Amino acid sequence: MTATLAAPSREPVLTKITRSPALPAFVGALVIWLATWLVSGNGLWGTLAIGASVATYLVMVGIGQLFVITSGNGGIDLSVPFVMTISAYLGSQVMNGDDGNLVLGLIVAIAVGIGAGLVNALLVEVVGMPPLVGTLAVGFTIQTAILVFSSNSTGVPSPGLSSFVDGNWGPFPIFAIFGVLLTIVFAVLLKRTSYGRRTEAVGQSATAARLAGIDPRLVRAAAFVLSAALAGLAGILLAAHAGGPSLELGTPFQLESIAVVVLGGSLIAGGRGVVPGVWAGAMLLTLLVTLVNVAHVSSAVQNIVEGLLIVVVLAVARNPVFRKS
Amino acid sequence: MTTGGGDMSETLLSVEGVTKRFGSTLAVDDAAFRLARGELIGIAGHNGAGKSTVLNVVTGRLAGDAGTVTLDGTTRDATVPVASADALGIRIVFQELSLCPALRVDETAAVFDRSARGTSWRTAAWNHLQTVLDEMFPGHGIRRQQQIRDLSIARRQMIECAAAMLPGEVPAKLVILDEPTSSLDASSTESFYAYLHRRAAEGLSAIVTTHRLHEMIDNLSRLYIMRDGRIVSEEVAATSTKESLVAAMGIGGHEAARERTVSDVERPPVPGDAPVRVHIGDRATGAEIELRAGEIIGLGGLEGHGQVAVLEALAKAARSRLPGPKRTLRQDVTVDGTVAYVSGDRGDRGIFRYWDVGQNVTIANLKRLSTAGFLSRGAERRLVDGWWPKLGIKGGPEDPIVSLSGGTQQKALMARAMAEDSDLLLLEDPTRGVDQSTKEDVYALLRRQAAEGQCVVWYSTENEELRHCDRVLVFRSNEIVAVLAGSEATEDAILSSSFAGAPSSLSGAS
Repeated sequence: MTATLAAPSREPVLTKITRSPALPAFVGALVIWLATWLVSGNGLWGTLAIGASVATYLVMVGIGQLFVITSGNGGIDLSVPFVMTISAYLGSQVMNGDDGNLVLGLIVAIAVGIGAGLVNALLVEVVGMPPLVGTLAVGFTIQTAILVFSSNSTGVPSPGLSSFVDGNWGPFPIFAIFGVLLTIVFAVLLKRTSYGRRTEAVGQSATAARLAGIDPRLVRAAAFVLSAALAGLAGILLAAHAGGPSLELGTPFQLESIAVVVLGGSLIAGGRGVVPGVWAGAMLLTLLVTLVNVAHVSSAVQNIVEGLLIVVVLAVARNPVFRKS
Repeated sequence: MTTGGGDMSETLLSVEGVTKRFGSTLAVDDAAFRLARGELIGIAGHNGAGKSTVLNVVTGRLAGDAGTVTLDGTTRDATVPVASADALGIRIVFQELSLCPALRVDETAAVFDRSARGTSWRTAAWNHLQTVLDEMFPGHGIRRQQQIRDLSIARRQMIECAAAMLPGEVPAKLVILDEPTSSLDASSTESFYAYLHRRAAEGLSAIVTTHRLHEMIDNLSRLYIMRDGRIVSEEVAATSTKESLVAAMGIGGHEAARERTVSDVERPPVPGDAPVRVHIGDRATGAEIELRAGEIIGLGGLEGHGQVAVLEALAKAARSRLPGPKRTLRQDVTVDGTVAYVSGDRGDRGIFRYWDVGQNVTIANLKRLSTAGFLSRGAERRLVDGWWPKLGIKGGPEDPIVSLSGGTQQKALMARAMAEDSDLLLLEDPTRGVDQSTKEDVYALLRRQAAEGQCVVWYSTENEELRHCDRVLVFRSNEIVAVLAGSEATEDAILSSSFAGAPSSLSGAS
């Protein structure tokens, strides 16, 4: 009973990798990468570079979603796709195809996100709505604003932004490098800062955190603002990639942003977030779409494959039989 | 109160040669004991002595490595686990409270009461549970519509105890009670054992494990003492004393000696103008109580009479950015100084279960350990290493907190709060379900903190503990009905003032 473990010296790196909750998703992404390469004949590196570039949008919103989920209390942000779309429209309108307005356009896109995040936080933490309902209500309200606004919107993102998201730096896609840097920044935020530590604490037990002098409402509110701000930025960047905003721009990200968090090994109930795992989940889903596209299968089959893969990865990740080190 | 003559009657349970290993640890080593029909026995020992493990093998929840268990004439191999102890006629009350927080009381009753079916299943289940509750804890005050999460920990424990006694498909022959009274106050505990004796007279047997040794002595017939996985002796409760049990459990003589000198230790008085100023003003009586630095203040009285509300109000008042007193039902509380809080409800209000011990200790001190928001690993390690030797925790700071026993977790939580170096230390029943030697460690830590000028406010459900305090505030119905000096704070005095004390007895105190 007394598990008198001798204080373990630092864990060997290999054990750390094999016990990482993100491992199944990384292995899955690797398998699909190789499969896509075999089917498409696009070259091993080219497949990865394109995949990483496209996955970065999903990574950005996934990281925001991760902070909301990790802060617990049933945290989830369903307003993500709507915030992306409205930021894409408003940011494009401000930029109006002119590099001179680039910075202002980015600021507007992020500010729109912060505003939506504050409303989310207000509804959940002050009014006391469940996050699932509160953020969806905000999303629907934004949806109406998008419909009103889009009918006479003509703006497009600036060309400078487009070359940022689509350009290459030698063999490396610039945008994917940006995505990796962003992941490092937020991994540090979650694991090495006081704010990140408090986020995981609140997600594990809000009561214990409160008694330790942490205000759980403030911590969770910050996560909503962070998530929506990242969604706003991702929205304008995606518009730059697509050559302009569109009504359905954010739609696929609603559930995928949640899926990549869970696939990456973070706990859906909160308390433990794995930021690098978001990359694994995002690469998995993105490369999978590429694979079924180059394999010329119908979209129905595509959805079946996607669903099955998610089930397999999660089954492997959750089942203790596979997790014995 | 002891049930005599158990040995004369028919044997209900006989355990032979039960052994269980966890990795390299021999948790239970060749344990053997027997229990007669209608007998109430106890198993005593420290945290980690093997009590819970041997009981888990007996009930078949855990597969043993060797041994046999004979229940009511049927022998089974202890190495084979059993799907449902219920079907054998065994009921279990777990040490860690295991009710679903989101369910209502009547729905919870239905979880335990499989006979409640049909459209009025809630009512049927509640009626059964209420019958037991009324008999077991008269005046329990539990209503069927309440959600479990809104109930105090004591009422949740009452429900667990009562639910084990519900009539099931197979009538209960044996009840296993693992710390059944850890959150109950003295009068509830008494009525619980009275109920148990009535059922024992009808032929029910029970095995109790608890760290409250006097409960075992007063209420059970025989006690098996466990140490390091072995049953080292069998004692007759009637001829045992707390001291003899402690000696048998293997706490060294010096521990007992230290305990005796505790109340004699005089701390130097700290001047009254020390920085912490705490006022508890009772609106009903108009009396004001001022707490001073270096004092240990006990909050006593029956469980659930407003003590936790005062503790939480103290924490709120100290942390609030808005000036002005914080209110509880009856008191206005002002605090001038900083606070730290320790809860004995470790699972819900204490530990962070996915973290290691070190992270659990540092969480309340992040501000001091970080520069510009970034945590310094070095500073974090220094803080943990600084506290480690003072706590005597087995293992290392990198062990997961959930791998520790309850008492050890509590020490880590104490370290978390004491590392805050606050003016005021608030304790909410910190020794709940903790063994005697850990308790002594906790008392020693508190005395040291007070000697260093910290004001300690300590709520305990064990009146006996409150003799360590300088003053004891006795609560009844959210009011402070008496203030006893530490020397007057005997168990009898606290009990009598919590039942009979009139609010007027507050005059003359403080």
